[in-house]
Amino acid sequence: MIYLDNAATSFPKPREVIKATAAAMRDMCGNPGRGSHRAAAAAAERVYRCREAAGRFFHAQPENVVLTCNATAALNVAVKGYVRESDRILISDIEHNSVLRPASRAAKERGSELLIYQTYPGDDERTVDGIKRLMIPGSTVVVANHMSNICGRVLPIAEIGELCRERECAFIVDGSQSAGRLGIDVSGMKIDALCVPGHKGLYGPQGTGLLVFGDGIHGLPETLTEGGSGMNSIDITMPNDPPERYEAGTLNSPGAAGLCAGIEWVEKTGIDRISERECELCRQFCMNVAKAPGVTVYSGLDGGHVALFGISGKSPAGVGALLDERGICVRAGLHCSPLAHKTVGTYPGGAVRASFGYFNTPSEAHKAADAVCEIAGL
Amino acid sequence: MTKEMRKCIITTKSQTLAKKAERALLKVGIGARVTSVDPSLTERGCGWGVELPCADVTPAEEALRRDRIYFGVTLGGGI
Repeated sequence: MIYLDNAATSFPKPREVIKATAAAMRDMCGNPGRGSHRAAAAAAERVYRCREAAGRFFHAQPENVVLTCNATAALNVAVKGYVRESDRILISDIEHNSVLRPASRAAKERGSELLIYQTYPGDDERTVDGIKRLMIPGSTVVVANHMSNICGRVLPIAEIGELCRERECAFIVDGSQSAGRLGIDVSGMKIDALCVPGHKGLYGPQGTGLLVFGDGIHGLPETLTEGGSGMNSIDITMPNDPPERYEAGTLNSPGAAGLCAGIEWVEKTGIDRISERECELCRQFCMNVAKAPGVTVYSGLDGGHVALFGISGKSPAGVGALLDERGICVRAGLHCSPLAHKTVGTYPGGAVRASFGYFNTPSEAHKAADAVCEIAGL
Repeated sequence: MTKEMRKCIITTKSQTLAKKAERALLKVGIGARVTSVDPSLTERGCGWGVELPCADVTPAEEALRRDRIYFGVTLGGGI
């Protein structure tokens, strides 16, 4: 099998991650934050280590690291929690449905206006300027997808963060594709809420994600879920502060152990090294498939770990199925990002996405490209 | 029991902050351990803190202030 769907979830995982997750399931049987007996304390220690690792990695305090089940859960808390009555919500033209859907709902329920700002590859100043013109100081929530899941487009989040801070607007970043590939400094980039999955570029297990709060000026978003928090039990509301405020119910502590190991592995390997390797594999793949008649490469030649392509006369789903028959795993369709596909020009039919990870090899990239060329010739 | 042997608890807002406090105190050589605080001792139900020798409370509170780790009341002597 050649696995080229790392934008969906990374595979394989580093040995350390599998070992840590399995060890946690075997040895760490308590419920963290529920009791102070040794079993619960061991689980709590593992969870805290994950917060420490994530805090270090994203330049945030450990107590501002909330464990979620994925980036979508984190984005729902951030988007729905920050938007107030009559706020304006600005999202980019490359947002995933994990932003578009909660933003649409928040807009509908709060009487807020949802606007989509255009992004200009290679012209960050123009992108930022566009956001500036749409902002209402003090009552706008801006969301930015740091790196698109279909075209690898990267937004200037440091500059957007600066603008939002200047204008007292909340700034939420979707780091689903960039976490583990590009440096993200929550504090330095003036991000109010960073939402990332644990199971993509951080190489952790599925069922993990992070909501990382910066030291912003907007206060904390409202909670989405209420329940047991292991503290202040007499209060009818959730605790006032993160992380417990946003962690109702039992945490995925084996997942946290695995995610901690994933973050440590990424730190040890180096995000530059990971990124360079993935981008080079993607570029080689794109260069090879672009030679085949009928193949259009929409993105991947100029950077990023994501190759988006189509074959004329063949549906993306059909191409995906033919590749699967040849043992190659890719994803076809709209990738839960219809907005991004509209921006790239592949809507409504979608396209085929091959997304590379650190553990892919040049030989795999080559074989996959050969398979695409062969299918193009059918 | 001497003061040195008696245990006190410096309460914190959450278990997470208790863990942070534990780390900070261990770094300065104060043997602290995260512990739950009985609801009868708090105003809001189950609580958290760090348990440590009462003799270490003053330097511990100083260390926590230095590291900007928020803490609440200190319980004990008889715990």
